[in-house]
Amino acid sequence: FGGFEGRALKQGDVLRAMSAGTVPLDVGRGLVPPALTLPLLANGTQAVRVLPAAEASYFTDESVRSFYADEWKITAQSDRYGFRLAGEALVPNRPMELASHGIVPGVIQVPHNGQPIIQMRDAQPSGGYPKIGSVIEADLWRLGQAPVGSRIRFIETTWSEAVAALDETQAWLDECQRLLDLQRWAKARA
Amino acid sequence: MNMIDTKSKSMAESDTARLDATQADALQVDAPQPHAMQPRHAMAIEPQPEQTLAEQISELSQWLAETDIGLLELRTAKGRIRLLRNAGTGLVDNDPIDVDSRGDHGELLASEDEPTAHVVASSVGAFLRNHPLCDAPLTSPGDQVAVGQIVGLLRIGALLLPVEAPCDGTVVDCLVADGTAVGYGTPLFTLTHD
Repeated sequence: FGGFEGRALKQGDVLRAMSAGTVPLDVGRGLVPPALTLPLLANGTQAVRVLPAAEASYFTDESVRSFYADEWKITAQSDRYGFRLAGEALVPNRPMELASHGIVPGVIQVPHNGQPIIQMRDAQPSGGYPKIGSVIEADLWRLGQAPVGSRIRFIETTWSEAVAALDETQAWLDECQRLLDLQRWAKARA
Repeated sequence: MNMIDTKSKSMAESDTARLDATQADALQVDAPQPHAMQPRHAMAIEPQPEQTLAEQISELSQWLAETDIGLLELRTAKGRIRLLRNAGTGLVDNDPIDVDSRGDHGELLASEDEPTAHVVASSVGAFLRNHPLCDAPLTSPGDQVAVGQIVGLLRIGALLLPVEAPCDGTVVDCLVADGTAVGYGTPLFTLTHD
């Protein structure tokens, strides 16, 4: 059920990008990968910025420190629904039982085993695990492009930096749109 | 954004401006591309019957001198000429003119059987030999390439444009170092025809 022919993708698989009869895409050009244009690394590791969430202060100081200082491995149990990470377990000051509440993509939940789960694009609408933080919207694409098995780091950020990062991402998209429009226009006139 | 990005972005804009210029339209620079010779443009440079070849070249040189075009390659039914800007003086010099001519009365003859071909830049940009995420160059001297194969890339800001082989052949030489800012029509590779 699900996947490609009921399994995960493997090297050599050929996927049909479009259904039969659709107009071919306007191709013949590409973009410099945004990871190169808008790099975000911490000690050489791919990083994403995080806003502390409601229950951040419920975790031990040591856990919060290691959350931002350590590397986290993206496990094979990761998909568009959520990324399950592996690292030094995060420990709450006391056991927490929360009522289910609304969550959004980017929210980092910490279940009882202390291994964080980041809600991704197909996030569930609600959950009851405590939240240590939330990956800012402007950096979700960085997570989306991080391969399973790779390692990431978290950088604590602020609301205003998160908004500025969103502006930066939008500026990159606008610039790409401008260059693509210019190139299509030049090609049409050629 | 580094220096190259900024530079190539402004170059992209100046290229647009140049596309608007009548001269650039009339002087087709980019020979191997399919759009290189359109009837309207061919009309603009149709030699006048009373003009000698020398007069025609002189007139083309004068047009070229008023532009920032580095290479003019002109193909007609009668043959082909290439005019290269003299990099030292910034003027179009008669010296580097390379005329394929075998006929009498200065007639230019076609040179379709020429053993080598150039892959030229179809746009201004920073020439890349490999994709930014790959270490290996797209092609190296000695490689066999097929017509339309991507042999390099041009980077204009965030945009990557393919550099395609104009014919089947073998790569002889890469003429431009990776990352160099190149102009419209700059020769990038030499190929031998298969």
